[in-house]
Amino acid sequence: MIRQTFGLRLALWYAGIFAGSSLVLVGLTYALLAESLRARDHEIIRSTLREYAARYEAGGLPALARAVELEERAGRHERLFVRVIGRGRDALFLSMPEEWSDFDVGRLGESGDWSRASAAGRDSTLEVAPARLFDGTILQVGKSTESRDALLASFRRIVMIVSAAMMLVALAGGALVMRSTVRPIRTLAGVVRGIIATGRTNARVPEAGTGDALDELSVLFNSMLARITSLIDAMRDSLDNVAHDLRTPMARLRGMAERGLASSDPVVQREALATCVEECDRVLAMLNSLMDIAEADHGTLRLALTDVPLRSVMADAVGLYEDAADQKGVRLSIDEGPDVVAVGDRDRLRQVLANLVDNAIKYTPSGGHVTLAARKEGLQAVVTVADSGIGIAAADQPRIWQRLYRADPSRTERGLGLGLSLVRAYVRAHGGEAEVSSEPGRGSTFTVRLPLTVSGSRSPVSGSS
Amino acid sequence: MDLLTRRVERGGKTIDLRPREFALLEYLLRNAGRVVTKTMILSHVWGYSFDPGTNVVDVLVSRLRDRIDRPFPVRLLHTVRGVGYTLKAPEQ
Repeated sequence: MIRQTFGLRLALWYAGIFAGSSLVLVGLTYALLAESLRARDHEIIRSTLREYAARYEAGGLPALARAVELEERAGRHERLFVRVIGRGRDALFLSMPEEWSDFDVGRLGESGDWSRASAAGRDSTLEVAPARLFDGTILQVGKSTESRDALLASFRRIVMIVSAAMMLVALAGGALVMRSTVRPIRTLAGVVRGIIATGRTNARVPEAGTGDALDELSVLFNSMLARITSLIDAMRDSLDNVAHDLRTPMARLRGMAERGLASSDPVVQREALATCVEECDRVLAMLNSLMDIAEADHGTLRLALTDVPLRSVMADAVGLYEDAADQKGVRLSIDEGPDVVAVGDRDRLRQVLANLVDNAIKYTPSGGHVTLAARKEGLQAVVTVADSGIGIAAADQPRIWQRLYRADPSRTERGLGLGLSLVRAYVRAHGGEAEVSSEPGRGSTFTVRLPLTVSGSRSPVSGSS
Repeated sequence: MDLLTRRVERGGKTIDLRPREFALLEYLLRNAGRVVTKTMILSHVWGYSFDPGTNVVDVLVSRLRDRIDRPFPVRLLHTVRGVGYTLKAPEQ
């Protein structure tokens, strides 16, 4: 209902404004026309009055009568009312068209400016200007407003017709404006209604490509939908993965607990309890990592920023994993080079490096190598962890940062899938970026970029993003 | 165990240990008879306060076990499943 009244309102507004402004224009024109017609009539009366007065002064009443007669014959303009009143208040001379005889001319003013005589049954009036002559007689010249009124009446008639036509045009224009304005909005509303009803965000608003504000709205709306869709998909994937990764240890936990309950042998019970604790530790570790990632993603992670020499952080990571790498037959080393000092939270950066090394060793077969290096690049400190492992297909590269994503879905190894998400979340919380480049079969290189100074575009401590 | 010369002997036999193995053994000896958890070992030996995915503690413990236990008939370093490790003399 609202959209209908909106369209109607728009059309009425348009028609109203159009009609209102035309009315003002027409009104002004009418007033101007009436005024100029009146001025013209008055000018004729005055100039005639002056002329006849001059005639009277020159040749008396006979000269005036002759002039009037001449004037009537010449027919220069429409006929006038001319009267001369003597000192005895008697009309010495009167000339006027016969059809004006019903005007009540008896009470016309004899001095001053203008006086008017009206007649019963007539709309027009007789406008008369008097003049006192040198010998005390009074000369009156007047003119009926009849022709003027007729002109104005026909003007009004024409204006009425034109106005009616204009109103129709205004309404049609309003309807047109309503259609072109409201249609994209209706389409948008239809799409939104569809999304609300079905919950599917894959619907799109048609883009007209006209580049106007409504088209821009459609384009923005579509890109917002695309963004929402990808976010929802990512969240759904994450949730699926979390559910899947929780179900397996939970099932094992339950199986173990059942076995412990079923047995009366204290050794078996103890075994079962121990397995339960281990399983719980795994689940707890996973949940802690998820919460850390969420905290870093939300920007609520508190970072204790200090100068962090990256070589020592790399050495720590190598120290942590050298035995494990050795056992697996993977060579773990740090490239020679000058030390680079980044600004960051030392503990978090140690965890970032440890996770990267952990990941690299995990996916590097025996006989391979994992090499760490650090360098300065512009205003960034860059750490790389390169391995000679199985590599990551280009299509999978963006997905490895997702929570609980696994390069190989059939893998049964547990505790995977959060390390790289945590790396990216922590590095981004520092105002840096984590990237990967890889060639399947040849190995992968993970790159972490960190700011060299705190004066970046974003303050990692407040972490408001 | 001689902390100054960093020499370790068992049953009159000198055992060569790498620095981290030495640090772990020292920690276990100081807590002899008590159970130390993996988290405790991680923070004491490496100074890491989080759990890395790969079981680096297991690797180090098995290395230490190779040096101090395997050549001898009596086992001293025990795994307490679900909790951690303990170093204790066999009960007579």
